[in-house]
Amino acid sequence: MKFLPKVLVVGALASLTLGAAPQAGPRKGNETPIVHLQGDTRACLGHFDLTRSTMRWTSTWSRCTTRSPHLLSTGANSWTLKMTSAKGCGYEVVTLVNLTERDQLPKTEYPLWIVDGFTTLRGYRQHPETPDISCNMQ
Amino acid sequence: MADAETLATKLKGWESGLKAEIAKNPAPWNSYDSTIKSVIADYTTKLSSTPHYSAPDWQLIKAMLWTESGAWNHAWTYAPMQAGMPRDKGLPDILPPNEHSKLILPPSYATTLTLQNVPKNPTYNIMAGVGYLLKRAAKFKNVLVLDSTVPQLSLPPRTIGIQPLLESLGIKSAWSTIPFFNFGGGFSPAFLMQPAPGVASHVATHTTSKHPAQPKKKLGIFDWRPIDSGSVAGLYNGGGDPNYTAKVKFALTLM
Repeated sequence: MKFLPKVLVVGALASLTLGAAPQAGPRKGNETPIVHLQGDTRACLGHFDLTRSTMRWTSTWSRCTTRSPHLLSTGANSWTLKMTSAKGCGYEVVTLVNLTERDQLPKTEYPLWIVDGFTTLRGYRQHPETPDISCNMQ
Repeated sequence: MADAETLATKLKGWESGLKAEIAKNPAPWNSYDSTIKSVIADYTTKLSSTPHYSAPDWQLIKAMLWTESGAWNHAWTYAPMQAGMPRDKGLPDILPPNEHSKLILPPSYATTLTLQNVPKNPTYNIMAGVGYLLKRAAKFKNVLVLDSTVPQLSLPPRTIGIQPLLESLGIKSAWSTIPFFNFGGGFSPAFLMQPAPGVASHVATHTTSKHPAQPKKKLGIFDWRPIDSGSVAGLYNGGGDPNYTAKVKFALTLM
């Protein structure tokens, strides 16, 4: 019985540490990156938080939370995720690009990212260069 | 809410990234210069007769494009001002049949721009984005005007102020017509006597008639808020980015 509270405390501390991170870099291999980003432009005011189990994206005109985003593909500095449940989210596919790494921009504590949203998987496959929303994030 | 140190660090990162990206390949970042100038010229033709109108600086609009999207963002090629993105509540405000659209949009824009094409065409996006910015900067008021559909005699018209117009309709004082007016925001009796230039052409033509013209409310622009690097964050971005003004100012230094 004494073990349980310790587990809870350790778990709580771990989640606090993750939550406090302004952003984390991509993970190695074909894993979903863990990122905590902020969007500031007219259409993108809000936050994008991605863990291995959930994605939460709030922007100016949409609010989206989904569990278990499926990793469709990865590139050198990019990731494409399919939402398993896009209800109320508006975006079935989300792509992330680490702009600072991709374009070899000056290193900064808050790297620049581009987060794109596609309302349908079909739209993503047909026109990957024209997402329905494209957000600069840090 | 991010603290000041975090904001400053983020801004520095954005600035160094922007500067490096433009230095590597400046051409795409300058690709909308002529479009921006042309769009501002079109709006100036439409709005220059409104009181206190001052055309926005084209480089300020360019700095907003760099802040809103930039050539590093996919939206640069189809929606550089991020106008009309999914569920954008601002765009319908300036498109027909919204009443503001008639006052802000050049006629050719009003027949061209739609909710569907604005997010998919960079020129249309700039047209709509600048229009939205101007709509937010304009100060609108309802004024009382004659209904032009009322039959008129062939006597030559003469232009008068609203007060004599009201008196000709048997209304002795402008103040007795308060229900016809929106008096918010410093609307003064002097304004009633002298309708705004942008409205006057629609408004104060009085002719002798067997059937007295019927007064009705009409929306007009009577003043403008300043459009500069300090105001666009609130007017266009909604004030949600505390670094917006600093980003726009930095972008201007790179031009």
